[in-house]
Amino acid sequence: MAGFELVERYLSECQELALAGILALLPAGGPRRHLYDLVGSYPQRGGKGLRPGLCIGTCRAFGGNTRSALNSAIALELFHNAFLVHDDVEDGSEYRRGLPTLHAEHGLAIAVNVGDAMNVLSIRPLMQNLPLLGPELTWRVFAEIEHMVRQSVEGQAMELGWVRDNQCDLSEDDYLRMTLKKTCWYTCIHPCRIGALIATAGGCDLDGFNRFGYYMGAAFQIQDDLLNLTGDRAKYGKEIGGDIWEGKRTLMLIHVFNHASPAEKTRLSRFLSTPRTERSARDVRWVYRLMDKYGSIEYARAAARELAEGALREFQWAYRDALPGPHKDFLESIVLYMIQREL
Amino acid sequence: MGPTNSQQEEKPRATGEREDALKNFAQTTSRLVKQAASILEEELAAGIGAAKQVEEKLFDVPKLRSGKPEEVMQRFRRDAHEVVDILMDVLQGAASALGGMAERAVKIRSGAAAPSERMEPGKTATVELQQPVKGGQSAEVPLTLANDSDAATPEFSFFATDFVSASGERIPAASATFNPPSLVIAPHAAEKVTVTVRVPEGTPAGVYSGLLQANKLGQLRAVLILKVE
Repeated sequence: MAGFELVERYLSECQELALAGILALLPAGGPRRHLYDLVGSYPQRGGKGLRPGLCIGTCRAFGGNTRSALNSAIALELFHNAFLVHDDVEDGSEYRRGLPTLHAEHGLAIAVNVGDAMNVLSIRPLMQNLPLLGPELTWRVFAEIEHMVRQSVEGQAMELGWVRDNQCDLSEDDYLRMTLKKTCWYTCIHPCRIGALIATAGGCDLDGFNRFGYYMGAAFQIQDDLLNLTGDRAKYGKEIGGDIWEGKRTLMLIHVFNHASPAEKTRLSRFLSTPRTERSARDVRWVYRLMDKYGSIEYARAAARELAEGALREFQWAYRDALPGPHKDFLESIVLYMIQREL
Repeated sequence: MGPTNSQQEEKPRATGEREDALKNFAQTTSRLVKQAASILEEELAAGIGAAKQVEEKLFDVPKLRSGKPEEVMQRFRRDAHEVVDILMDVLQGAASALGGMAERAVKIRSGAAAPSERMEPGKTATVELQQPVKGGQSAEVPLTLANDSDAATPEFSFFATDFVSASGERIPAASATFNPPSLVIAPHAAEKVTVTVRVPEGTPAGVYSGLLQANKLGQLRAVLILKVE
């Protein structure tokens, strides 16, 4: 992407470090075919490296070194990939990063177990922090991770519950709360907090990263949902329109519901109560047209832009004590990258 | 002026109406950011409540906070974020527990067979020979080392200090040898080490004590006491 070479290079470097760390965690023994060979599957498909990038970048920006943040970055990336494996099962998704999802290729049972293994393996690099960071910092990182994982599963439960109960009377408020819990804590807030925590041995204001990470994470999630509707599948790596097929309560769908006519609401509710396998391409196209009619996609783009602007304002506060230089530059640039990315 | 809500619900909006809606986006999304800030504060407040409940169950807060009052005041009150207070209490307690775990990983037990007594964590083990030794003779002391952790120890060996009596007489450190000279202990396993002390001829009678210390395992040490006749 033009103008974001620095961001992409930085993310790529951090992603490679995290990937090498993940692969090094895999036990030498078996079972390989149905477990350890598959643990590396999603990470090796080339994720964006957002979480390692934010963690390592923040640590460096506050004067820390890569080595001290790397274990935590590896754990964050592995937790993320575990979430993805289970998320794909829960959503019935078919593609991830351009290839069939793990459960589509190996079956539900194997995929769920691989996701479990990834969660378990994530604990080891956090334990390996002990000789590097000492007991107090190690424990503080654990506490950050515990909060992060709990928030993520609670947010996921909210979203899954909406689909299961066919909840249609949702508001922006509901969406923002769910996104905070499901996405923002683990994608942005905690990676930044952990990086700064390690660099400063707890000596900086970690709460300063909450709003920054929240606004940036929400902008990221909205952009992700927009790409799902309008992106280039070759770049995005997932089926376009998959969220409509799944009935996912995106900001766009909530906007449509809050602006549609009673007749349209009735039809939309009926469509969403239909099992995914019985939904028709014709109905999916109709939902697209409805979003176009009410300007829901443009509305979501504007929302992502506003949130990104909010994140940039918060950046000035959260990183006020960071050292000027490439790491701080990267962190500032990543905000706009979040809403202009195509993958 | 744009259509009312009821008008919007009753009929599809024309292109012009959509443009009006788009013009209002800036206002709408500013509200969105404010909403987001408010939601974050609510969630943080809820988190503080939950953390308090956990803390009350697990930690003696007044006791923890009384440990280092200056540091606590500086760290806890600086930004008036109550959640930091709570986290620090939890972490301080947990850090103590972690430190204890690391120290307790390998323990010394006296005797070759199953010990009757375990050494207390944080205290240096004391091993006392029951039978007195004469100058020119050797004494053997079997020790059992138990690794209670989930990881194998690094390869380590022992060394000893001089053995000193109450009157200042010395048995040189080189008089103590260890068999095996180095070892690794698997997770949740125990290994035996025999300490042999050769008492030099002419060593004055008395009670001698020396420190046995493992390299690479700083917490693994014991005081060996022997009586020379």
